[in-house]
Amino acid sequence: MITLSILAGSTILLLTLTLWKRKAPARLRTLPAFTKLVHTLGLSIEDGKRLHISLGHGNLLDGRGGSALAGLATLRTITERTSVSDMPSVASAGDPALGLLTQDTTHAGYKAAAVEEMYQPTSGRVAGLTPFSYAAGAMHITADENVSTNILVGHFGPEAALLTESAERSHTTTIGASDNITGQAVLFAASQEALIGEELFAAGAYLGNNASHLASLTVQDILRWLVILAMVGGAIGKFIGAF
Amino acid sequence: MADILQCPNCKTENPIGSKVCKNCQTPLAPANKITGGFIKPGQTPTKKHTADLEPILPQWLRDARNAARGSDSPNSMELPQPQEEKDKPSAPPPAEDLLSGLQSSQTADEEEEEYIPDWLVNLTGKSPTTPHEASSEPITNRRVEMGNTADFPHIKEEPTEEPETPSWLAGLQSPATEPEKDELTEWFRSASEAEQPHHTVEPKIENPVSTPQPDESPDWLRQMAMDAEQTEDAQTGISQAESEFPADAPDWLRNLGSAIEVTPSSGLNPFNLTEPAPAESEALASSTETPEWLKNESQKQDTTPKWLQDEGASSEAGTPAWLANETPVQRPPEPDSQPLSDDIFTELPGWLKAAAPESSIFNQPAKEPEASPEPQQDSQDWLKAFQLTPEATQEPENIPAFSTDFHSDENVNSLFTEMPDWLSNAMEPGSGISPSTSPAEDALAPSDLPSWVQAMRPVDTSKVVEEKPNPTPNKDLPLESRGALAGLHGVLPAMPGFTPTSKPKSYSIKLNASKEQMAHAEILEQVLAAETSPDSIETLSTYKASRALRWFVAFIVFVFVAIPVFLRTQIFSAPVGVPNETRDAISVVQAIPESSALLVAFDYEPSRAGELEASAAPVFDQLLLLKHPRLTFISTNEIGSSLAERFISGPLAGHNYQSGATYLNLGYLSGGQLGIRAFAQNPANVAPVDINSQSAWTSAPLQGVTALNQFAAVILITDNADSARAWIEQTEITRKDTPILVISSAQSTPMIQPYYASGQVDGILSGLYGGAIFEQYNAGRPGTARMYWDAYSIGMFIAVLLVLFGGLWNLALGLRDRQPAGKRKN
Amino acid sequence: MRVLTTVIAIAVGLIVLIGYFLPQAEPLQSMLLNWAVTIAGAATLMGLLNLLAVHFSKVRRGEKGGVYSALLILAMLGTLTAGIVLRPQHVGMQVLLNGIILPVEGMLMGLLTISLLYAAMRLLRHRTDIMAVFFILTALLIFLGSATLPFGDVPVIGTLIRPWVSQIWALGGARGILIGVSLGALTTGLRVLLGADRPYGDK
Repeated sequence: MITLSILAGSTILLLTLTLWKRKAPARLRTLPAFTKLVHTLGLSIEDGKRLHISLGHGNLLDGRGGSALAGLATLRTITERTSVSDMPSVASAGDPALGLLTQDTTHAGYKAAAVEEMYQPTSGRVAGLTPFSYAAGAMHITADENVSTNILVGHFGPEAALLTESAERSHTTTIGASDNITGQAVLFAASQEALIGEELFAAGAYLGNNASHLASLTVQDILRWLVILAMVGGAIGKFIGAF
Repeated sequence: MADILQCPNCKTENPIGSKVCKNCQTPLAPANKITGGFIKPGQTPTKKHTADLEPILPQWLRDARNAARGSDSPNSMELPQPQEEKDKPSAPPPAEDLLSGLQSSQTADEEEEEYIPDWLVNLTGKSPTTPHEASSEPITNRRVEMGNTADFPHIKEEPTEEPETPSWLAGLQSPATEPEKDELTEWFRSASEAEQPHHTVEPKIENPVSTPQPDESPDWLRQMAMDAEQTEDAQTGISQAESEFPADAPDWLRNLGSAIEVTPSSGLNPFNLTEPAPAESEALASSTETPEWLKNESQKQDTTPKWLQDEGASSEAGTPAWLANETPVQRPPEPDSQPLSDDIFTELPGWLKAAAPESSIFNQPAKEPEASPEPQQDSQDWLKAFQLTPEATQEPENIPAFSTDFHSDENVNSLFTEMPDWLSNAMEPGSGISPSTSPAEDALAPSDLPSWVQAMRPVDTSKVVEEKPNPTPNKDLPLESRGALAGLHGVLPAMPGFTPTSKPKSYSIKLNASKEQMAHAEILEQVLAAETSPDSIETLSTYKASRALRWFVAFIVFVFVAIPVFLRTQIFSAPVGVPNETRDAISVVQAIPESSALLVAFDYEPSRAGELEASAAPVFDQLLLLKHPRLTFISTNEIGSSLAERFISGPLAGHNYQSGATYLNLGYLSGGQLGIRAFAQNPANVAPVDINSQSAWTSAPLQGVTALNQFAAVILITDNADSARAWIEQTEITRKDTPILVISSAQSTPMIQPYYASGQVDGILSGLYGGAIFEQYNAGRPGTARMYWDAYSIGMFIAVLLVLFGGLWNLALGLRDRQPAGKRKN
Repeated sequence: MRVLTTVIAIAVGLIVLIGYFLPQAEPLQSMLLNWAVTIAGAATLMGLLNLLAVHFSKVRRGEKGGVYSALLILAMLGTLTAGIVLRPQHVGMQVLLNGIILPVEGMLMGLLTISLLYAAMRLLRHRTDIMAVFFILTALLIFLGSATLPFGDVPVIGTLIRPWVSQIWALGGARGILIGVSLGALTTGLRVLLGADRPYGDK
């Protein structure tokens, strides 16, 4: 019941806020990672280099699917912006289904930019089927394919350290975001800019400024406050012996 | 094309001259209609009447024409118009022949009185007519041709009372010159009779001057003619009559003639003009008879162009502006040069020939009688009227080429503002008169220059009023002997001191640059090349990777970790503290019944095999040793089934478990969380066969097991908290009371502990630490964890030292790197 | 086609979600989930083919690292063939696993260890802030608490501080992060269900 109510309330809030955000877009707090991400988009085009968007090895059929979907939304925006670049972006994934969606999303980005003829199927690829094999496959993309910036958005574990090390040796920038605690710790220590926690899911709002993305951020904030109140209230109630 | 007219309606071709189309009777416009038709290349211009050109004439000319029409007594100098024109309706004159319009604009009475000389007729392309009184000819045309105030001899002009005629033109008219006009027209006509009229587009200057009849020409003309004859006698091949000025020839006519040097060898110049003889000029100077049209010129100047009007202020009343304050023209001394030979102007009266302009229209020293050739009878004496005489050039202020507009410096300067001083200074009288001494055969001697060219020579008119013409040529300045400016002094040479006498020398294309210049050029090339090459953009806040530090860290870690493993040291104490989750895990294991079915999930990566096998080996060793369970392996990892086989045949090889008998490997369970849920709901349906494609649920290991809750326990070996969460959450409902034991890596244990705290997990073994503890409860079997423990502890301490000291060192470096930026900001 | 794809995605998502709350929808939910499991298995094969295609194109174009791509293709096809023919229990497969796969993965894990140490050492040069200092201090505490001395656990740190930091502070922070991540995943899933996000190739 609680679950159903949470779902229903979230849905209603999301719809309402989506309509509201279309008329009054929200002002988002500055996240240095997204600021630099936007900056690198233009720099890569000017520099004649490409971007490497890595979506991790998240599975769409489990809890890691949320980060995979967020990564796909980010890939969609970046692909559309860099579609006219001399060196188009490359997307890699560590899950087969996610790899297929990567190709589809890249194709949609080129379509939206009206340069569908520039789409190449190899721009979205499966780098490996296991985390370390995926990291090994993604490392050579950074080193060999004239990459200026690595954008890690998805489910990453400690193997992200291999990606960041390869990027550092190639003198490329790494901007990382993971829903995995270990991955976040690794990215915090090894990358130039790291997104912690649910900041990963704000990528669509910061890059695309879509009303639904902005609304989802607001819904998250509302639900977070509700959880905080529930936790604090429950702790106090447990403490006083109410239940 | 010129002989036909195309009908604009039906495009039928009609002969020229047709008024209507023969096909559709559409009125045909004559070709070359002034309103729209143009002469196409190859076409012969159609003869037009002058009156048709009236609309296109400039206003000042139209006014002159109107004034001329209103004049009662046409000037003697007026060119008579053909008799035919007064009877003809005014036809649209051709666009090219502006002069012809001068003749056709007058009234019938005027036309009767007007007489257009042959030379003028030839200009207009008309047939010569009977001599009449010369109409009020706009003197401005002639004035333009002459160009120089000194060309005209000083003539006392009498004001006229004809308001309709422009003042400048009225000044040219003089009733007293009627007979003279008649005389002029007569000799004009006679002169033109000897030639054929030319009907060409370009007005061809013909010799309008003809030998005047003794009965018809005035005395002054006769005197001019006589003088001209005298000058001609001095020259070879020149008719005497052409260059003779009558005694009563007007000064302006005398002054018009300027000594033109003509190279006898040069036959290119058809306008062989010579200066009148000095005697003639003197004779002319004494003459006071001024044509009426010259006398009355100055009265009406309202319609004159501005460049002419400016000089009217200072002009005498009734005196044309350009003739005001003119000193009498003195005929230049008879030049010693050969008289001009002009085959064209053979019938020009002498006075007119003598009055042929000199080479310069500006002040020129006229005291070079030697240089001035005798006017020739066959030369274009009519042009000599525009030539400067040497004497005339001596007093340029008295013989303005134009009206009194030129008397003021300001007016002069306003007219010739663009003329360089060097050119005007170069145009000194007499300088261009001397015969050319250029050895070049094709060099055009000054004497061969046509008068109109000579008239166009710039002269410093600012000196017209103030300075007296320097009669003596400026011998200090170099004499130009080549080109159009031959004979002039002070001409700027094309290149100082340069006289090309040989083939232009070829210049080497090799760049003559110094080393420094070449170095600068190379630098410039590099700069330009750098502009086209893209600049590599530096990454954001990246530091150069330190390969040495990596090698150092790797060496240290390898050495200190590998030595205890190879040496099998047991220096460091085994862990003593037993976590609660580990204690509960031990309890769960010990509570498993014998020969029960156990479900074991291998959800870890091969990279974690070392840690997890070391952690799980003591647990399964104890189970297999004491409980003899039936094991069922499954994995949501693609390589999990192989890891399971490795595990059962490696650390547990001593227990001799056989596939299909004591253990069963169900292989890979796809779908991740969904697969786990599906397996939990109906395991026999989701995984019916094992990795050998044998029926699994009828085999011995799974005998009596059809659901998940029929397993004695579920043991999850994972390095991933998400996988653990999926197994825990998806099997919670169907598992019911079946305990679940999680053997996880040290990194995922913190994420799984909440499940233990909530009771969803019955026990947790955390990595090597948990395995080492369980080994203590298993009599130290198999001993893998203990073997790794010393290396593990040393590795931890090495990591602490490296992170601590390396971090402090890099902290100092970071502060040092930021310090200059901070100082700069301050 | 775009509309049909969106309708199918939304409909299936809603049915699966409703199946969690309505028992009557469970059979349909199970069916759809089984279809998803099957499709996921097929997607694994598609991922293999994609991997082959990418590396084959590298070999064909002669790009940098084309030799390694050729080796990868040979190894993949060889292992696939051996696994199908010999089965995982075969000795040959065990040799492949024990001789190639495990050492390679273990080597990567070792590299990861060195990389993490290197990153931890240079962290304070990149980020000279309080959070980086806390990060390093926490790592040091965990290191010390995990190891033992010859005479036993590290006193105080191993027995008191480390359990307190890891199970209270680290765990609490991790829980908060995971809750935030879960909320983000929740809203992301809702966007997909409502059709606001269409990651299946739509504009």
